Order: sequence, then C-alpha cells, then structure tokens
Amino acid sequence: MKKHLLPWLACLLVVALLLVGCAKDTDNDDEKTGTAGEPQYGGTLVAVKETFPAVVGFPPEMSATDKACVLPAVETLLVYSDQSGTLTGILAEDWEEDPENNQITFYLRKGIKFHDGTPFNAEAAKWNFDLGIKRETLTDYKNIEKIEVVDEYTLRIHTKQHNIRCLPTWGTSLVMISPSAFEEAAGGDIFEGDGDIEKGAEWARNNLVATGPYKLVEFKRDDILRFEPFEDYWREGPYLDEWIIRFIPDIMTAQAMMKSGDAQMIMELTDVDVIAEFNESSDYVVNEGPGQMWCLHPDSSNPNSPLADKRIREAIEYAIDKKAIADMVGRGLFEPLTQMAPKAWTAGYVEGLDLRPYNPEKAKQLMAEAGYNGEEIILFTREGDTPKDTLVAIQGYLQDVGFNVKLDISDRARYIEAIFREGWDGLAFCSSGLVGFETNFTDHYGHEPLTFKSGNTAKPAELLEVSKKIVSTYDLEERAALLKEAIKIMAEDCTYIPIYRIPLACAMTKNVHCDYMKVHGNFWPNPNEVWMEQ
Amino acid sequence: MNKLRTYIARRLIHAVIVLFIVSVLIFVIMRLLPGDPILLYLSQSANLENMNQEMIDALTKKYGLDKPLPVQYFQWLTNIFRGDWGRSIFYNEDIGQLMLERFPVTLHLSLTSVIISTILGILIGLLAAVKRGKLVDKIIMPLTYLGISAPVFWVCVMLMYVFGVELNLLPIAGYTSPFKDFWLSIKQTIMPITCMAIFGIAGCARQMRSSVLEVLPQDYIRTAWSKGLRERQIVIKHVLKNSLSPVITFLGVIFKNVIGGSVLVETIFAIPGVGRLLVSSIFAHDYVVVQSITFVMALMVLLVNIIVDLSYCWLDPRVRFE
Repeated sequence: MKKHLLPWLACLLVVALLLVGCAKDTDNDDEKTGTAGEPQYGGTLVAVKETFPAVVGFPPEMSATDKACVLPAVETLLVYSDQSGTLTGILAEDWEEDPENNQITFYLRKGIKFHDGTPFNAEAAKWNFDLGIKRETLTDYKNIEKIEVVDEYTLRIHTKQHNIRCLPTWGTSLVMISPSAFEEAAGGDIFEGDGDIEKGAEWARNNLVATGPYKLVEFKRDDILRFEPFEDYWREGPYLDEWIIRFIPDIMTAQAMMKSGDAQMIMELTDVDVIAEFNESSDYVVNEGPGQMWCLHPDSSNPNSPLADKRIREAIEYAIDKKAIADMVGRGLFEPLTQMAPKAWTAGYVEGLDLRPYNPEKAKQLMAEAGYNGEEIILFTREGDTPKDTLVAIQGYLQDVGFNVKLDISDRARYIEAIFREGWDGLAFCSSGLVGFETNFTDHYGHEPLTFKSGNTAKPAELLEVSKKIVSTYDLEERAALLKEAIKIMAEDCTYIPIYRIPLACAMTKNVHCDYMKVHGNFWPNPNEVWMEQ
Repeated sequence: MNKLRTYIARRLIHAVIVLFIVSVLIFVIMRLLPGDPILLYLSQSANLENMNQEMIDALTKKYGLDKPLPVQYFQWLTNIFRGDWGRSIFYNEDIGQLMLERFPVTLHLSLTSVIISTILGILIGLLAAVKRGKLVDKIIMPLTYLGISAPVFWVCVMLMYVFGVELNLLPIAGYTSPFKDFWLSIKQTIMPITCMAIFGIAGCARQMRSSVLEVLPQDYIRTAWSKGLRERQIVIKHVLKNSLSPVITFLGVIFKNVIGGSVLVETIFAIPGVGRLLVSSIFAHDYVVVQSITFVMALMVLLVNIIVDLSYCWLDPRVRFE
C-alpha cells in the first residue's frame, strides 16, 4: 500500500495540472451585451467594494463612502442626472428656488413609504433636516433660517444668504431615514426632549430604514451588506431578488471573484490596470463616471516659499509633460489637464486654453529670471491612492530642468492634518475633489471653500471676486461665463497646476444591466432599474 | 508539586511584566505616529465640510485625548480590569463588542490551522524520519523547505487562482460561521486555513524528523527492537512520545506565526477577523483599538507559551521546574 502512495500522488498532481491547463479561457470573442433588453425579475447581484461603511443608517455621521455603500436602500430629494450637473427629482417631484426671497420649496412625491411602512412626507423630510442641524453636520446648516412644512407634501427652506450651493447641496446630499424607526429606538421624540438621540444614533449606526428600492436586511461590519427588494417601492422594480455588497479590501481578490463568478460587479474602481483589463475582455462591461482631478497645490501664500513667485510656478508647469505622464501612468484612461476643468464639464471648460504646454527650455529661462538657486521644493502627497509612478515622473521632469525636488509621501493622518489644518511646504499633489459641477468648484476653490481651508495657496483677488459673483448668479449662461472667467484667471496666475483627471469606473459581468457610475459616484437616479439576465 | 506552583507563579509574573512592556510600547508607538485621529475621523465622516476647532476639541475631550499621556495610559489599563475596553473613534462602537465580533473568527481559523499543522507536521515528520534516505523522505524534505520559505501572500494568491478561479471548487473570499452554515464555512475556510497552516506543517515536520532521528538510536529503542516488538508499536509507543518535546516548543512559534499571519490572510480572503480590524485601526490611528487588540494577542501568545512549557512535564517526567 505504502509503495503505491507515490504513484497516486504523482497522478493527482498530473490531473490537477491537466484540469488547470484545460480550464476554460475566459477571454472569448463573444459580443459584449450589457445593452438594453426587457428587464427580468430575479437573481442575486454580488457587488464588491474596496471601502466599507462605518455607519449605515445615521445620516449625520455618514460619509460619502458610507452613503455609496447603501445606495440600493437610500434616496435623496434630488440627484444629479448627468455630468454637467442637471438636477432630477427623486423624493421631490418638483422644486422652486427663489433667491430673491431666500427660499427653496420642495414639492414632495406622494405615496412614498419608508421601509417600516410609515409615510414619507414634509414632516419626515423636515425631521431629517432638523437632525442634521441638531448634530451640526448638515452642510452649510448655519445658512438655514427656518424649515417650514407648508402642507403634507410641501417643504420650504428659508435661507439666510441664498447662494447657488443651497439647492444642490441640501437636495442631493441628505439621505432620508424614517423618523418613526429612529425615535422608537431613541425612546421618544428626540426634539421634544423625551427621546435619547444618542440611543437612537447607536441603533441607527447599524440599522437603516429609508425609502430606496431595496431594504437593508443584514449588515456585518467590514464584511457584508445584504439588501432585499422593498415591496412598497414607489417606482417600477426593483428587479433583483437580492443585492449583496461585500467588502473586499484587496483588488486582486475582487478580480478573482469576478473571474470565478463569485461576484458580478466591482464598484468604484480606480485602478487603471484593472479597468484596462476588464475593458479588454469581452466578458465584462465597464461604466466610467467622473473621477477626480489631480493637481499640484503650491504653498504660494508663504512668502518664504519659492512657489510664491509666479515665474517658478509657471516654470514647474512648463517642465512637466502631462500628456506623457497621463499616457504612461493612466494607460490612455487618464485625461491630461491644461486647466482646472475637465473637458466634460462644459460649463467651466475653456476651449483651447493651454497656456503652458511642455517646454523645458522655457522652464529653465523662467527659473533663471526668478533667480532660483536650488532651494528644496517638497513634493508632498499621501500614500494609498496616489499613483507613485506619477510622483516619480513629476520629480524627474522637475529635476531635469534644475529643480531640487524631494518627495514626501505621508500617511493619511499627517496628510489630512496638513491639507485641512496645518498647511504644507512646497507642492501638495492631491485630488481636487472637483468632479465638474458649479457648486463643486466654489466648494473647493472659491472665496469661502469648504475644503482646502489651510490657506496655503494664495488666490488672486480677481478670482475671489468672480467666485463671489458665481455663487449669486442663477442664470446658467451667465454663470458659465463667470466660471470660464475663473478658470482663465487660475490658469493665468498659475494658482494651481492641474495634471490629469482619473476615471472612476464600475466593472460588471455582461449579464448585469446597470447605469451605475455613468452619472455620478454616490447617487444615480435609478438603482431600481438594475436587473440581471437569468 | 510546590516547585511546579512556584514555576507557574514565576511564569505568570514574567507574563504580567511582558504584557506591561508590550502595552507601554504599543501605547507610545501609536502616539508617536504623526496625525490626529479625531481629524482623521472627521475627515472621512459627514463632518468634513463643517469641521471646526470646537468640534475637534469636543471629540478630543470625549475620547480623553486631551489628558496627559500617562493619565490616558493608566486610565485605559485600569478600565480594562473593569471590563471596559473603551470606545473606537473610527467605528464609534464599544471596543469590547468589536473584539467579541472579531476574535471568534480569528480564533476559529488560527486554532484550526494550529491543530492541522501539529497533527500533519508530526505525522509527516515521523514518516520522513522512519523512512530516512528513502524516496518518501527525499520528497518530503524539499517540500518542507518550500513550506517554510514560501511567502504567505504568494500561497494565498496561488491557491485562489487554482482552486477559486481556474477549478472553481472553492469560494474566493468571505467567512461564514460553522454554526450558521457548516459546509459553506468549511469551503470558505479551506484556503485561508491552508495558507496559515503551511508554515506550521513544514516547520513541525522538520522539527519532528530531527527529533525522531535523535530518538531512534537510543538504547531503549534498541531494547524494544530486541524484544521483538513490531515497528508500529515501537514508533507509536516509544518513539513518538519521546520525540515530542522539541515539537511542543515549536507549537508556541506556530501559534505566534498563525496569529501574526492572520492579518495578511484575513485581508486577502476578506475575512472579518481581528487581524483586519487591527490593520484598519492602525490606518485610522484608532489608538485604543490597536492597544486593546495587541494586548489580547500578546496575552494569548504568552498563555500558549506557558501551557507549552508546562506540557514538558507531562511529556518527559525527567523535566523538573526549578
């Protein structure tokens, strides 16, 4: 018997190798489908994500990532329905903005229910706004004078200083949860004082009762979110029997799950190698949406920094071959930027604006004029999603023309500290948060930015003036003209040095029919329309 | 017996000292990392745009980070003895609850892989020693070299590719409790447990082989042969038990490796165990979670080492604790 052990082992090895060798080649020449057909009911969709929520049902503590994780189950009053920033009503069927009288009126859709069966109406919407205000987390909440319930389905927000941010910010960012479910957990009315908001929050961090097409039935932290269809949903669908979102931190594991059939979708994909691989295979469909712009942010407000001199900033921009970097690092999927606006953002993009194309000789000349004598310039960024190849390439281009550049790759904590509070030395290479909507522009680069508050980058006075005008201009054409003016000012002053825009994608097996990512990363109008060919 | 008690007491005192040093070290190291955990938490929560100094100060006070470092440390340590592990900044959850969710998962994988490593390692090592110089030994020994030197992540990737993607026999990732769905749990844990056990099997087999080879020429084994006992009887009754001491020592190493390796294996196979909680807490600078997990892990390793040391007495009555 013992003598037979080795031949058996050898046979097992050969069989295993043969099985691997003969396994089906997944790259075949079948036509990609992924196109429309008659939606079918049924099926379980397993989607994987690299980031997972810490909080699932308590909007005051939910980040954009948290909201994106539970998007089959949550809805907002409005959503962006295209990349140019057009708003579409979801829980609100119509709305009116009256800047003269500092008012926004939402006309809510009738017949919408929360997952616990209670109705969604103006009282419920007001309760959600009040919760955000009470916890001081609702964006720009200090600008709200009063929230008024006009009638059962009409909600009016009175603002202190109306601006273009108000409607899209409050309309698209606040997910609506059931007041009854929350207050039951809190033990009573949280605003009258007999309910304990902390108790409610404790419960809501792990439980979600909202209005979306699917209801959350299981949440295991850092593991799985399981959704089932909501029978009383107000629109057609939902079609799937089950929608599972699994947290897979390793992209290689996520890819393997797609190949083995354990998953049918990878959400929020930014790794270009993986996107390119899925694009090349006929077994998958890739939806691309607006990703982040990556730019160099100089510490130009520091008088001791060489970057306070516009000629040095210009020299830096001349020295970098952005197209070569975008092609090399981005495998053709990155958009090299010549201005602080991607092409798809038609309202802000200035046709033909390319003030400083790659020209190392010009860079050297400007450096000489500015009297640059080898001061160290720190290229600061964070580890994680920053492509290291880009940093090395930028460092290489700058060193080629004579800059003394040192890389400083920080962990996330130090990076956040620098960007939001302490400031940084030299050039910060970071994503701008700008995805191409007007409010987005002023939120990040305007006169009163909500991010990049450290004030490290000096902004020209004309830019601040234009920014003020932008937030109070409601005529779309007039606003677009102002945005273009702002983009030109930034380019002329070389306030920021845009490098490229990355894609944000969603890869699916071809039997999944879904528009996710085509519009916007966090919310898109129709998760109820997702279906799978059986 | 008194000597044994004294020995245990001495080892426990040593363990307390080691735990104290570990806890101080991890406390200091976490505080040396640049970056404010409150700022980090706020930056990835809904509060990003409304973040102001008052909010940061309020949270800093809530989590006790405004107190002097020695006070923070001793408060944390004394609270542990009251059963209060503190609150996670990132998860906004009781740390005891978090660990209670995660430790059973990691222990399931770790203990299974330690048991498999030990049993297989002993059997393989014994076989290689008994068949020394023969073909079986010539096959086993290079494989044990491979098992010891193969990086865990590489083994994970290879297994995932062959058994998950190509053969489609096992699920790629995830974890299900055996009490919920036994067969799914078995299928999901085969690859992670194999990855965690490979080093142990190989190491244990090599240790066992050397040990058996030392025992085989002993007089009492020769006596057993001369008494006409059968090979199986000699190996099981006389060789096995007398060869186990060095292998038992190696058990401590295996356990430590398995616990350490769980961080990597849990990340690759997307298993919500304590290893992954540790990684995410380190990145989030969630000080108290990192301190608590490290404390419990250190405690486990120390206890296993004490048990291993005590087991010598059972294996070899000649061993005296002095």
